[in-house]
Amino acid sequence: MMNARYTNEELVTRLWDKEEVKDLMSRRCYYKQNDWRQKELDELWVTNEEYKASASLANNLGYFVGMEDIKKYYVDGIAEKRAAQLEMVKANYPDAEYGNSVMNAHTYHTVMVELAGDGKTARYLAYDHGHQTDPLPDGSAKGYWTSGHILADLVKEDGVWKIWHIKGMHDLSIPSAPVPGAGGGGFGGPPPEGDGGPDGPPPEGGEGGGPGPGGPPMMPDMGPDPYEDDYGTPTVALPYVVKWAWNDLPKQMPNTYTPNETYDPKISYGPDGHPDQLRSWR
Amino acid sequence: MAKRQFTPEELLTRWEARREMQNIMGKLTQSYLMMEEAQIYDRWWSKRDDVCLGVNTGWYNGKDAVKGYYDALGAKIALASELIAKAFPEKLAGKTKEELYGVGQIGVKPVDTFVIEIAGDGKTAKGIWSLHGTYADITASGPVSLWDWGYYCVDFVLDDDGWKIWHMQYLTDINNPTGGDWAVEPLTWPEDPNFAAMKDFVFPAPNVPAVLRENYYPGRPFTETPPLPEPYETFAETFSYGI
Repeated sequence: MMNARYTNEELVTRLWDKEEVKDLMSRRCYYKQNDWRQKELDELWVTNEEYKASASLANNLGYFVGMEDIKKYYVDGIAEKRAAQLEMVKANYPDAEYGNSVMNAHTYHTVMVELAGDGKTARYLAYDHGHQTDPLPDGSAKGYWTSGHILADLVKEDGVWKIWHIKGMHDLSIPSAPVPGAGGGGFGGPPPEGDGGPDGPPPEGGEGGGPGPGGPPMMPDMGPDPYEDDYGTPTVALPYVVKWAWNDLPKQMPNTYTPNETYDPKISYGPDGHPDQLRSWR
Repeated sequence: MAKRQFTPEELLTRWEARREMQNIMGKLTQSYLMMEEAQIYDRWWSKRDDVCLGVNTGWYNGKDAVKGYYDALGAKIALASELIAKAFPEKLAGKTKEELYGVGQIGVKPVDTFVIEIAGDGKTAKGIWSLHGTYADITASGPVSLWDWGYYCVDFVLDDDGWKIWHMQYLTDINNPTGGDWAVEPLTWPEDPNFAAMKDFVFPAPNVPAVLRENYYPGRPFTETPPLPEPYETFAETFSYGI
């Protein structure tokens, strides 16, 4: 059956393009785990000067724009952090080398990919469920489950898909071990009293846990996210406030090409497409 | 190497192959969910002699060793099912062995973040997947639930009956009790008389012992992911996920 819009050849190209976009983003995920950040910028990101100038990498505080600012934050920043960690770790592990006691993993799942009608750009949206472990001064370490959104604009340069804009919007860092005082029978807390099933007495809320006796279990307030210090100072400060930003997320779904045939900065994952900008645009 | 240019017909065939490899990994995950570990070798592995399965502690090298690994998983499930049935007679009395098989156990091994490369000659392929799983292990202390985070790395081969697993590595970074801190020594529990027989169950060790990966511990050297597939023309040109 012919598609009214594309020839069969074009449809095959578009099918394969989506696979290449998924592979590109998976590679990015593994490169990040390996701290191959310069290699990521060199191999997976745009190389065309025009695209490089408008390339962006965003975290919860805003956008690093242009490859120079991206490198300063993304490459130099992690190098400084690892150097400081190594100095600390050597007190307990004198033979330690780069990254000793550090572990991080990311997985990109629930992936959506949309190609522009003209096939020149693509948009990618996934959720990143991972973990992060960093060393502590006493020779131990602390691990967290981490969760957040991954959104990206990709562009085809000379037939090869490249990363143009990427946003990593961090939602949660959850300690791997139980949280003291979670209470309410909830996350990591002590077991509920009177857990008598659906007909039994309700569990008691614990300190820092549920809204009160008899309330449902809640995730405790664990204070500032342990990775907030890693956010740096973005070129364009447009924060993503985890607790209050949910209404903005649907606007970032990758269906915004429709009915647009071509890329438009207003629907990008760069700073021009930030939800605050979208409000005035729509 | 630069990717070879393919005709639309070839691209479509290669797209189907990618889909098939994703399906095999999905079926592998479903097999664990359905307690069908004992059928994995017969269903999804190549029957070549040179198959191998790598785990953190070494290689199950050759088809007898690989089949033995999955047979042992099945035997462990059977023993655990028998002990669970004895421990909960009010719930499970009167059920047959077949009905009891897998009771009270679960293994969830969802995979994602795949990178797949199919050889230019279309005869082999390789892929890496992230694994973020959990499972209930029935131990001599009773049921213990564990995180199971790591990677599957697979070389596939196109046999007469379709794409099959040729070499596989199942490697973990985190294999610790859920709710515990993976950065400290895992908790241990006293023996439970109902499940004490599990300590006599001996899982076959890899026939080629080796340290392929270590689970996390403070002081562990920085451990990169297994190597990612790169474009290749024939298998001789690329690395192997096998021994």
